[in-house]
Amino acid sequence: MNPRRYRLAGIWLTLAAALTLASCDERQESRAQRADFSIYRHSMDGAPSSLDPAQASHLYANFLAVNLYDTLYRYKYLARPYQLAPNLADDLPRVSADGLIYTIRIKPGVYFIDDPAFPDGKGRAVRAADFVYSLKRQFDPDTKAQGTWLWQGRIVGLDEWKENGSDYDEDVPGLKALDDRTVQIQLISPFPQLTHTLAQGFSAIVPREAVDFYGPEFAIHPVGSGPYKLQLFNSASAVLVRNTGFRKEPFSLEAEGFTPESQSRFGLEPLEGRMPPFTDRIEIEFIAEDAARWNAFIAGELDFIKVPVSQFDQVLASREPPTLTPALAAKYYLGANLESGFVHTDFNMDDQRIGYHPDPDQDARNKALRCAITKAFDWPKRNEIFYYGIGQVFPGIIPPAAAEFQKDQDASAVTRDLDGARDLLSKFGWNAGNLPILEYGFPSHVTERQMFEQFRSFMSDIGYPEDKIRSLTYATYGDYARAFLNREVMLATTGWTMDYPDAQNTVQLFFGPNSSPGSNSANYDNEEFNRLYRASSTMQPSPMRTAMYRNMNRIVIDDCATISGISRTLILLWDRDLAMLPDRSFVGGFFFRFVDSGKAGPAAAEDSGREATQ
Amino acid sequence: MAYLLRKSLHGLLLILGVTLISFVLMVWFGPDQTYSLIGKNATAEQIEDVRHALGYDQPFITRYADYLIELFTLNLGASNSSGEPVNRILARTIPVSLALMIPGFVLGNLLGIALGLLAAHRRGQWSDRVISGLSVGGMSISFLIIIIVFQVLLSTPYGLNLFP
Repeated sequence: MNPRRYRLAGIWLTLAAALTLASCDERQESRAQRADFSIYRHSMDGAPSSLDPAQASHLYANFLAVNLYDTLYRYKYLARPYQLAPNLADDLPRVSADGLIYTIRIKPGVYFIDDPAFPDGKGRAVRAADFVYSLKRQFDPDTKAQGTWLWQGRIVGLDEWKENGSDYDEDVPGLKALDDRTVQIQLISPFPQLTHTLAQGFSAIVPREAVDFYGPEFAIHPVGSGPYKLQLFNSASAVLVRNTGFRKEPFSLEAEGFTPESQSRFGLEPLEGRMPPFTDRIEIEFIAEDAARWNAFIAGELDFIKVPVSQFDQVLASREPPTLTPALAAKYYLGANLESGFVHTDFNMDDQRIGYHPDPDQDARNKALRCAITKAFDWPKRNEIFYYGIGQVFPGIIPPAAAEFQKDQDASAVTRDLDGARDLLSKFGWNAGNLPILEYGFPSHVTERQMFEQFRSFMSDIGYPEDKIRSLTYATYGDYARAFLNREVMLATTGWTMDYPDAQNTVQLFFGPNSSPGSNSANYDNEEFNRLYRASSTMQPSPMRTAMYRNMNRIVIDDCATISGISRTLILLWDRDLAMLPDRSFVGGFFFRFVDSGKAGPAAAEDSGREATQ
Repeated sequence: MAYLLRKSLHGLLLILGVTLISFVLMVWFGPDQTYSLIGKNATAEQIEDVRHALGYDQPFITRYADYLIELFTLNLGASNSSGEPVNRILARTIPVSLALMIPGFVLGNLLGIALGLLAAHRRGQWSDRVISGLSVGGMSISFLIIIIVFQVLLSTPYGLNLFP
């Protein structure tokens, strides 16, 4: 080899070595940095695109919003069933005897983080007027807010404020800051769920200066008073760092609803008396692709994962109750978290081929057809194939996460009855020749397609010709939503995540006036149901209200307006070095402040594989 | 001069034609952002508010004119969700794409030319046959397979695990 060739080879080798060293340096630097901080590395299966609380409409955005901002209320970290607790408010609201006036005091000495939006860049004290401003933003069309519906028609003068042009200098009679620390809300009629709505990311408190200063970019420049502040945010990850100015409130196991019998093995006791947030830095990776997320977790790059259903087979040693394989149990804790919502397939009652019909005879035939379809639906098989058999099937529209769920209710609505279905069809004169074409809509996705095919096979068992069950596919969920909100889809499968643990949040899905484009995408309209809903909507929790909810549930089941439902069981894994109890439900992102990543949990061996049922 | 003017006019018409077709496709077949931006339980009025904010309620010709003006002034607007100006997003992200693309492009071309010269220099010999064989093999394998194989080899614990 001549000298020139040696030089060329040298250049190549140098380049390769530099590349390798650069990557090693980066990783070593990263480890070194991590040694200086306590870090918790969280993973999410989706990403928020906006950090503006007004747009915190899904779990991912809400997780960040409640850490970057303060809400008046939150849910207790450990209490199950879920219970409200004061957050920025110094106590639960004082409610007038008629249930119309809520008076809330906020804690003193709470400051927004330092930010260029403020004069001199110093964060100022959070005031009651900031809450008033933040709630008004939900009614300002320029905000493109997504939480308006929570308070629409509820607060005196707020809807009119919007109609009058959303002028922030104009007062709203029912939404006042009595002084710097006192908020007063006056309702049009009693709204027992109001306090729950004040624990949503939507109600988080933002300073007007920051909204004005950043304009539309406020969505990526959060300026709040929450336990964390933002260091980095993009479509792949977010980094939150401790807000050193966060108020000092000692952690109390008792106040958070600690249950020693089921929670003592998570190493939470030593947290007693310490000041949250416990972890300096939270790194959140947004990884939508299941395999990539799982590989990153197994490689030790993440501390927490919601296990993809495709991995359940590898992860679980048993299903009832879910337990981990011994190898995984030695490294990770397992949480079996029943989702706070459900999946259901609604008939479009506005479609005369399957729903309401002006001719009473045809109306009765349509109802018989819907009931036959419901009876032919095989819930155990749906659960087995798509949810690994660990979802919870239940009849109707009140899911297990709601306090009003009835465990011992009649399950015939979710029990397959092929003979009953065939009898109904025959009795009402339906046969293969005159059955209508069923159009089943779904967004274009492999799993959705498989669900459609399974549905078609269920129906073929009662003689429904396969060529009469057709798919309507949509490129995006937005397109699908547009179609069913415009009443164009005959059968639409959707999921509903509850906003608060009160069945009012699910029965409203079938309240007539909420028909499309509202949340009643079945366009169900039953006089008795509507009467019960109206009567119960102003009632505080009570056995009578629970009975009314259950009555509404029965009415929907009897009308066969929906094929419902299933609540999925989420399998959560987290590193045993962490002292925490993660949650994807009502506590949601509030649990970040209580994660202690600087401490090892108790020995793995004795309780390996037992689940944390929440 | 007349030739230059004629060609410029043709070019302008061509650009207008292309933008018109792409805009028509976007308007009629593109995604409707409205239903991704509304919250749960939206009212017809709220849907109308969002449509108004997105400019969907404007006549087609107005929307097309706005589109042309924004295109020619390089005013690409702001992201619907984050509010960040698109120009700034591009300025931030294009260098990342280039940083990934340029080394591969340069390396690939240098290697290709070097190996091609070597193969030509030793035409018919075993080194020519090996290089030609590898080249044909490489071109025949889908890029997707190559990407996955190199990811596994270079960036996972199953391989060299060189990159994060």
